Amino acid sequence: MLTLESGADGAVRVAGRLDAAQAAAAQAFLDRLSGEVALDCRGLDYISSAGLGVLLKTQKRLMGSAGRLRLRGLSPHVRDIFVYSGFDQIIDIGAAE
Amino acid sequence: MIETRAFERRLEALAEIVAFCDEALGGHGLAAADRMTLDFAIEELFTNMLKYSPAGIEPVRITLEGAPGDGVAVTLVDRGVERFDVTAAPDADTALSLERRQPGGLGLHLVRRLVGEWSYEYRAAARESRIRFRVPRRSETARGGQRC
Repeated sequence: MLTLESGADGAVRVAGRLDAAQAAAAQAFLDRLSGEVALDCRGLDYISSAGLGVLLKTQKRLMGSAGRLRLRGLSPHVRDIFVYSGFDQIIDIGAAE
Repeated sequence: MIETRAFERRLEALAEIVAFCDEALGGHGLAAADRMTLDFAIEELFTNMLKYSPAGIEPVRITLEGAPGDGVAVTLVDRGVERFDVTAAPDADTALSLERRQPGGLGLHLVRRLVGEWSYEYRAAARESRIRFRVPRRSETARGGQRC
């Protein structure tokens, strides 16, 4: 189960599991966004390579028009996946909390 | 604990696999990071089977084995398929720039990095692929956010 919703503060709250079964829905949601996009990931329990692919495609599209993704609130075990994949070098995931 | 269940060859089965793991590992005391590793490796291997062996003749069987406080061994069995040794898949280049990055190719690379050990066996008579890996307890490893 995955939910994405835009908050009043402009950030997109991501909660649940961003896996291969949810990747298409996540991509469809993110494809509608532009500019600087902040993702509040405090509720993100899990991400697989399919989820990373969604974020990669979104980051490429946003940076093509002077925007970018900014992720905050990653749990330590989700952060590990970003570090092991080198995604912390191509997407702003903030400092470890 | 030894639990086995069969899963249909479709992406929607991922939620059923998570529920199976929840049920089987309920009293196992697996740390969140170890559970992340277990779920990640199962998803990557299962979806790899769907992608490269879409015509398998039976559901994919997944077995979890382990004692409370110990690591967990996982076996995925796929019958009626061609040989595909996932352990021989090439590493991904995780140092590429954003411009040169393309989706795909990371899954097996990360599985190799995350699990304690993994093996592949092909039984030609049954055209059966068997992938086995072990998720060690977090305390058995020294990961701590290293790049790979």
